Amino acid sequence: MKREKTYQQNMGTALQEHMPAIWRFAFSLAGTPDVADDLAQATCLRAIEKSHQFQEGGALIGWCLTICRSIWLNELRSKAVRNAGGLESIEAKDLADLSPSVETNIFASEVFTRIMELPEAQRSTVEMVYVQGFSYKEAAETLQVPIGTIMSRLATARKALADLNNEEFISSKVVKNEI
Amino acid sequence: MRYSDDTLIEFLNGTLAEDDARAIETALETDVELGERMMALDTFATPVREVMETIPSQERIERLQAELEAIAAPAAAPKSSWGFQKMAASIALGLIAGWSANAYLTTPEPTKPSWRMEVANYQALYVPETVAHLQIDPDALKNQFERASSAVNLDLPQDALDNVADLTLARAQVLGFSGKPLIQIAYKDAKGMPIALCIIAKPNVAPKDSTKFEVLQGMASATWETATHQFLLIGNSEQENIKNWSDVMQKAFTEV
Repeated sequence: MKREKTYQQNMGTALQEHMPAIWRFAFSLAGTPDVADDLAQATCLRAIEKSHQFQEGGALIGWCLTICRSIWLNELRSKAVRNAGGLESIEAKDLADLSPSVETNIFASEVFTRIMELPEAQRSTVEMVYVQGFSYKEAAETLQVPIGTIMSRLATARKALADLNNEEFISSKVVKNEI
Repeated sequence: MRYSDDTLIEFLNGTLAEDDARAIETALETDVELGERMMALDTFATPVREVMETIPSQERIERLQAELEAIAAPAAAPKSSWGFQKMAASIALGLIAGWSANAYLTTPEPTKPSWRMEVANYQALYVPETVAHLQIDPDALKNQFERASSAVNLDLPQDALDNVADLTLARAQVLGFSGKPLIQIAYKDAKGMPIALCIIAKPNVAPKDSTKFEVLQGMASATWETATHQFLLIGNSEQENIKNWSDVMQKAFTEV
């Protein structure tokens, strides 16, 4: 019992550090910030409960994201879909902590919008590989799909972002704004 | 086999011939360097990461971390009557049962039950007889308020809280949740129904802006917070009454 409490204490401390990453992954699945809050907290709770199962030396964030995905698919997703009518769409204005640069904001907002327009499976793949830095193989294992599926999802995401060459995109937007 | 950069870019873009693509996918299973080369060739990774890492906001992170700390604390504390497992199970059940998202006024179950759900469970046991017999002695009430104020380290505007339309102040008492003091200020309304204002200290982070109205355990409730405390007004009354009373109470605390 004492050992289990120690596991839980250590896990609680470690999860504090990983909270932003867990939240971002939850957000990529859920698609809305409020639902991501709930999913991230449920993930942390479950991780604390099961902390004795975590193997020391393993990748904690990968373990947490596996839990997060499991909770989403098995417990929360269907309810979120049923309640989707009450959810607000996420717009660029919801981006926080952006650079004050107007040009950067235009680009960042567009990238954000296009990522969030992707289907859930592609969003979560982009999040794992591009944002969290998982290898293709690690992402495939965590998301329990073949590597080919990971690559296919990323290719689709790249197509969605294809015309967002930073400089060209910004100059076109700035000109458009001036008009 | 070493693939050219052009081949790998074609693969990334999904335009490589299927047989060649399958061969690269197979190689990726074991060839770490190949995966790293492809990642380096993927020009979208960096800008996407830079944009997505701007969320969530620092305020949101701090709030989530504070909530996590509150959830995890029981694991470190001596075993209490609430117990970590019970609380965790309660929260997990609440998450499954309820889905607030952006709901306002109409949420049937709470998304983050924690202390509010436990208070609701407790309050659900209250019946008119629970408060009907309470003798309201001014001196005793004053002492109760002083103890309650000290317990949660918060100035309580007793006079203002004793002057809420249609509510009769009955008692202030110190309870506990997960090793932390929680105070309950009990009222009876014009029909004799028990109404409770409960307050608990929270980590000092920026408060949520709006008051949240929802039904907890079949009772109307209002939840709000300041930088240092969370407040829950709950009872068997119309939601409109709870809203009006919570408005008065919030104003009373801002004028302390």
